[in-house]
Parts: sequence; C-alpha cells; structure tokens
Amino acid sequence: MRGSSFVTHARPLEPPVTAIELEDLRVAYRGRRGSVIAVNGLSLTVPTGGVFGFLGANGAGKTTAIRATVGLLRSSTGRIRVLGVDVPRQLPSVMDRIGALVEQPSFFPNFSGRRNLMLLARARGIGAKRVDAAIEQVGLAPRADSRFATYSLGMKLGIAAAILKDPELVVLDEPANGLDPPGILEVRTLLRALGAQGRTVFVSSHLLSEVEHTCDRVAIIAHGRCIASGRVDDLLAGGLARHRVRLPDPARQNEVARDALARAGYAVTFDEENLLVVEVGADRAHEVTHTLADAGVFLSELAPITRSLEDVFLELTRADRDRNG
Amino acid sequence: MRQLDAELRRFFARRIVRGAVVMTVLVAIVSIGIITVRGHPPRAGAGRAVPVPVVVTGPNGQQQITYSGGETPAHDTRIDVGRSLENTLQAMAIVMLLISIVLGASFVGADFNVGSLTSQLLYEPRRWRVHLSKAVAVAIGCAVASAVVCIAIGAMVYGGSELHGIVRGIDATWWHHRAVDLGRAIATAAAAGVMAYSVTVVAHRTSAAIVVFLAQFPFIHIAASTPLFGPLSKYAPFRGLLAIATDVHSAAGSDLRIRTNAGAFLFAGAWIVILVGASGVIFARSEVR
Repeated sequence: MRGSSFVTHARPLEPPVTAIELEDLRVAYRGRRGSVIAVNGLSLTVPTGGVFGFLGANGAGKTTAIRATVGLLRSSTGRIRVLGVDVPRQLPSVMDRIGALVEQPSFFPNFSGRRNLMLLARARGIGAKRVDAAIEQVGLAPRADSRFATYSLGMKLGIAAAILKDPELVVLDEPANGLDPPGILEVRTLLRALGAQGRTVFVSSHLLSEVEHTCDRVAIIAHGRCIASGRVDDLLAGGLARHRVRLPDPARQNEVARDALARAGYAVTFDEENLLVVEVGADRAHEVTHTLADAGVFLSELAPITRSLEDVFLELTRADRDRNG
Repeated sequence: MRQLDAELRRFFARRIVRGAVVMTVLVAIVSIGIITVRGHPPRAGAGRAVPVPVVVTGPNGQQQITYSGGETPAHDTRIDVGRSLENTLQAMAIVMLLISIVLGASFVGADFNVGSLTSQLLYEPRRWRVHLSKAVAVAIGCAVASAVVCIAIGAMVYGGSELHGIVRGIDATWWHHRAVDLGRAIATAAAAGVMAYSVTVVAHRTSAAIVVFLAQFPFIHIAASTPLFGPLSKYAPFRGLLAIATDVHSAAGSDLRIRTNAGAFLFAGAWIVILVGASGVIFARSEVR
C-alpha cells in the first residue's frame, strides 16, 4: 500500500474535538438461553486525529461496540456520538465523513473488486477516479478486475471501501485479520499514513504488537467495559515500574542486597535468572544505588524492565478477571 | 435517485437476471420455431374420417338412418399471430410472474447470504431509503425483464406468422388489446417481484419467499372450497397477481373471485403496500449482518 498516493481531500477537522464518544453503552442480545450482554456500560472517548487502538480479547464486545457506533445495531441504553452528532438519529448527516470496515468484508462474490466498489460509490455520487485511487492506495490494482470470490479474504478490498469516501473518521474492525506479514506491514503503513493526514483512525485488533507499533492511543475493554484508556506510552510507563539489578557476585551478594532494599521499603523479588527485581520507577532508580552502596554492595548493572503492550493487556485483563471472578 | 441507480445496476448485473431472460427467450425461440415449421394449411384427405348420418326413406315410407364415411379437411395448424398471441402473452405473464418471484427474492436474499448489506448500510444508513430503493429497483427490473421477454416472444410469433403462418385480423383494436396484455404481464412481474422481495427482507432467505408464494397455488385452487381455508384463500396475494396476469374476464381469470380489473390492481396494490411497509419496519429495526 502506498501511503502517500492517496492524500486527496483530508478535510480540516472542526470542533468538536472528539471523534467518537460512547457513554455508558449497553447492548444486549436475546439468545436462546435468555439475554446476553455483549457491551456492559462502555464509556470511551476517541479524540480526533491519530490512530486509536481498540483492544480486547475475543468476545470482549469490540465488534458489537463498533457495530453500534456505525449504526448497524441499536444499543439498548447509553449514548453514542460520532463526529459531534447522536447515533443513530443523526448518523446520516455525517456518514459521508465516516469510512468503516466491520468484521469480514462482504461483497458480491461474482462481481469484480472494482465493480463492487463502483456500486457502493454510485450510491454516494463518488466517481470512478476515487475508486481507482482507493484501489491503488491499498495495492489492489493488479487484482481489481478479478472476481471477489477469487480473493483470499478480501480484507484489502474492505479497507479500500472504507477509505473510498475520503473519510475524516476511519473505523476498521480487525483489518489485519488473516493477512500475511507483508500484508500486515502494508496495513500498518496505511494506518499511519491515514493518521498522519489528520484523519482519525479507530482500529480494533488483538494483534497487540501491531497496535503498539501503530497506535497513538488505546482503549482496552473486557467483559463489555473499558478497563484502561490513554496514550500507549503512558500505559506502558504506568503500573508497577521495575528495574533489574545485576551484582558482580550474585551468590554471595543477593541476600545482602535484598535485605538492604527491603529495609529501605522496596518490594524485591528474583527473576528466572536469579537477578534482583526491584519495584521502582525511573525517577527513583538512583536511590537504589545509594541504598546498595550504603550496605556495601556495588552493582554492575541497573536496567529498567520495559513492558510491552501485551504485558499491560494481560495484566489489566487478568486483574479485571480476578475482580469479576 | 443515486441509491436507486445503484440498486438498478446491482439488479441487472446479476447473472440470474440475465440468465433467466436469455433462457426464457431461448426456450421460446425453440418452441415457436417448432410450431412454425410444423404448421401446415388444411389438406383434404389428411383429416380423420367422420361418419355422416344419412336419412334413407324406404318404399313403405319408413325412415332409416345410415352412416356413410366422409372426409373432413385437417385443421389449419399454421401459427396465427392474430389468434394466438393473446394466449401466448397470458401464458408468458404467468411464467414471468414465477420468474419474478425468484428474481425479487434472490435480489435481497443474495445480500443476506453474502452479508453485503453491511457494506451498503455503511454508505447509506437510512434504511427506509435503502429498502424502498431496492423495492423500486426490483419492480423496475422485473418489469423490464418481463417486457423484454414478452416483446421478444411477440416478435417471434409475428415473424413466424409472416414467414410460415397466417397474419390476419391485425388492426388497431388488436394492437390495443395486445398492448394491454403486455402491460398486464409487466405489471404482474413487477408486483410479484416486489412482494417476493418484501417477504425475503423479513425471512432473510430466498427459498422462504419462493415457498411462501408457490404454496398459495394449491391454497387458492384446491383449498378454496374448504370451510377453513376458503375464506382465507380469498385474500391470498397470489390471487391478485393471477387476476392481473390473466384478466378477470377471461376463462382463466373467472375462478379467481375478483370481479373487475380495477379490483385486481387494487387488491395486489394493497398487498404490496402491506408487505413493503411491514418489511420496512422490521428492516429498519433489525440488526444487519
């Protein structure tokens, strides 16, 4: 996908500054065994501009929340505002500014990719040039005239349909699902390019490393509720910051160092390499060296233990599971 | 209008539409070709001998009836556009009615089957607009398909009659009546397509709509005389479609219990309004996948 080839009409963003606002959203399905709550009091604010990741395990309620956001289903209670208008009542007034891909792309299997896009484009008065540009943008040009049934998953065509309207807000539900590594890289490049153009990209995924590399902000949901939200850097920096301490003679010094640090009030454990792990943030890491020096222990390495988004996600979802039994 | 334009393009781009029209015309070409080629003028001696009663009076005045073998000419089997096109168009109206049920039902049935309605609603979220555009597209599409088939068949019958048949009694009145027949076929196809489409919007399956309509055949013909189903069958939508297709004053239309053509149109129209309205309400409220 060529990120720079589709810089067309990225409209200047106007107030309000939030692209999506979900307020105490609740969606329940009627199943055979009674009511199933898919989204349970979800509140979320997605600011305009940049790439926003929407994370959650399978069944957490991501797709249901997205379907309600773009008007494909009615929420039971709660409030949804997209680009400053209430959904679903006023959704038609902003739908031209929203591009979305929800779940698997669904097109007519016997029509070519180009014809499928043309049929969608016609309904909104979008010309053939824009269709060609969208196809080019997602790197589908060589296969655009093949039948959709011959596409492996059609994810790229779904993304092309989402960006066809040259939207301010792009909502993508698991866009990298089923793609091979080069395909995932292309999607990542495209999402970054769209975000850099001033658009808001709201992307759900369970590919945590992808989200970490692509998104500026994330929200994590579990059991239909938002359990964390914020900038990716803040989430990674938050929680229990830890440092690893390597000593010149661990067999002899570990116990001495642990006792000294424990007396100073630090929580200390050992990792699988038998190295000391001290719960302390970067801002107070130097105090560890003082404490150890005072105890006559001189360390050879003090390194921060960096957390990945996967660590944060697992930590938060595990904590939520423990809280909810 | 843009939505309707897109729906019409989607309708006519489907292979089942083009396939149904082409297949119907091909079958008609073969049938009319055979009828045309095999037709012949009346030939003396070729017909079946029919005994002719002869009254013989005896010498005493007594009368006696005897039979003598006679010969009658065979029937004229040549294709005769002036006489046969009316029946042909009525038959085609029934055929196109059935085909339109399949076309109308499968139009949105395919959407539900492949899930493409999701993509469409992400472009046009006003569901009533989508629903009505699809209904109108089905009506126009089925009407055009029916018109193409009927005109093609009419042209073949006329051509066959000119080449190897009889062309007589063709005057302005005849043309007027055939235009009315053509209009009936078109209206029937449009109405049937829209009704089947509406049922599929609720049922989500093409086969459900086809079954719902075909099940009415025995309902209005066989069960009509039973105490329970008789009164109900009077209001079956299929009755209105058949009444439009066959003309209530014709022999075929005489047992449909609809007495005037205006009544037939009103009856079918009421059903269309009910079905499109009810399915629209359900479509507007339901989750689309």
